Amino acid sequence: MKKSYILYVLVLLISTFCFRASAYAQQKIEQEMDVEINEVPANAKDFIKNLPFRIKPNWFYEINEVGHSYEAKFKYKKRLYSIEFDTTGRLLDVEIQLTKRDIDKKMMQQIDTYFQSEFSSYSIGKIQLQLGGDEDAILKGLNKVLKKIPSELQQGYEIVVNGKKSNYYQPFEVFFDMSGKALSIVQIKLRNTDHLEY
Amino acid sequence: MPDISINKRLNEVWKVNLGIENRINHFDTNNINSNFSTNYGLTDISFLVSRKWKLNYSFNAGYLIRFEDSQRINRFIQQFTIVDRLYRYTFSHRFVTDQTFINTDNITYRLRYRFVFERALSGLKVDTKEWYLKVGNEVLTLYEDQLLDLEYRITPSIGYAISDASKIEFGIDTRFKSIVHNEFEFENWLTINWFFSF
Repeated sequence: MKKSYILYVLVLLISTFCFRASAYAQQKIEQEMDVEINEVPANAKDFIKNLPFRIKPNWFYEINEVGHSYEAKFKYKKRLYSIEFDTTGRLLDVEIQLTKRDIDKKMMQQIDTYFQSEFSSYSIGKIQLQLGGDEDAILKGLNKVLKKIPSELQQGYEIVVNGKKSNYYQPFEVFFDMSGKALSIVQIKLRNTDHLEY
Repeated sequence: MPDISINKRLNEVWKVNLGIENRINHFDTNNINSNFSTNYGLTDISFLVSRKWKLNYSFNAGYLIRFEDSQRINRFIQQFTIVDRLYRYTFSHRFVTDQTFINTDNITYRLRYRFVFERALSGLKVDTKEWYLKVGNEVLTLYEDQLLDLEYRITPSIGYAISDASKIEFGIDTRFKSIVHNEFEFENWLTINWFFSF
């Protein structure tokens, strides 16, 4: 009897741990560091040089749960751009920060409907349009105004939302395809700010 | 002025904070002829209970006990903090009211506002094993014996994130006291702060 009780407690403890582990398995953790321009792969620098506008980006080396990459971040015409390359300098994707007003009304309604079903309350933080595909096509696409970027380059919207679940708020990153379907939802791990509060 | 701040998260909403601060006097700036010597000043032990609201806000309430010159000084603290995570900087706003007394006949009331600016010295945010700059500005109003006074503090420091949960900071705490009554006092402290969360 005593043995089975101990076993029961052990199973309970392990399953509790496993549940906690799985609940946090899909967490977004990123670390980025400044890099000097001479450390950036030549292909990535060439891509930035060939952009249809003159900018001077800040370069970062990023480590996340998927792998390592280089990222060029800059502001152009009041929009934040983030262009990500793999460690060989091959283009991975381009992200352009948007506001709610930039998104088609019908699409925004679909996004809101998803958030309403997922959270009891929410507020949208950051919205980014993600572009992907052939490097030349992207360079041409970036030459156009936002609404005229070819649809085949537009892969979806990456949205950071502060959502209320189980009576508390957590930040999530949700990726919607261009039809408004949520393809992934990842909880963002907020960094500790106790040193700013006390 | 060595300071230890230990935070224990009870769940996603509640946490507790234990703070221990010692002050060691080295040099009296008001008396230029005084010798450099080390004298124990005081010890503060504080305990705060904190409730998070949404992602960026928290309410705190607690008690501080100060041991100084064989006296025991009591302080009740109520605090509200806002943490703003921006693209490259993090700001925090702290609003505090507190009541300090040795006995209930003579209570000092204070109203404090502190603004803290933090910037990672590499990358966009403070990651593990990275240095950061933190500058605090605080304005205090004091009400004691029917007299109102004002104090200003500036606390620049350099911090190092040993991990997300453990940060150490080295800095200066400069205090301009008795601003209203023209009995201007100036204090300068060297600070070492360690913040640890679990």
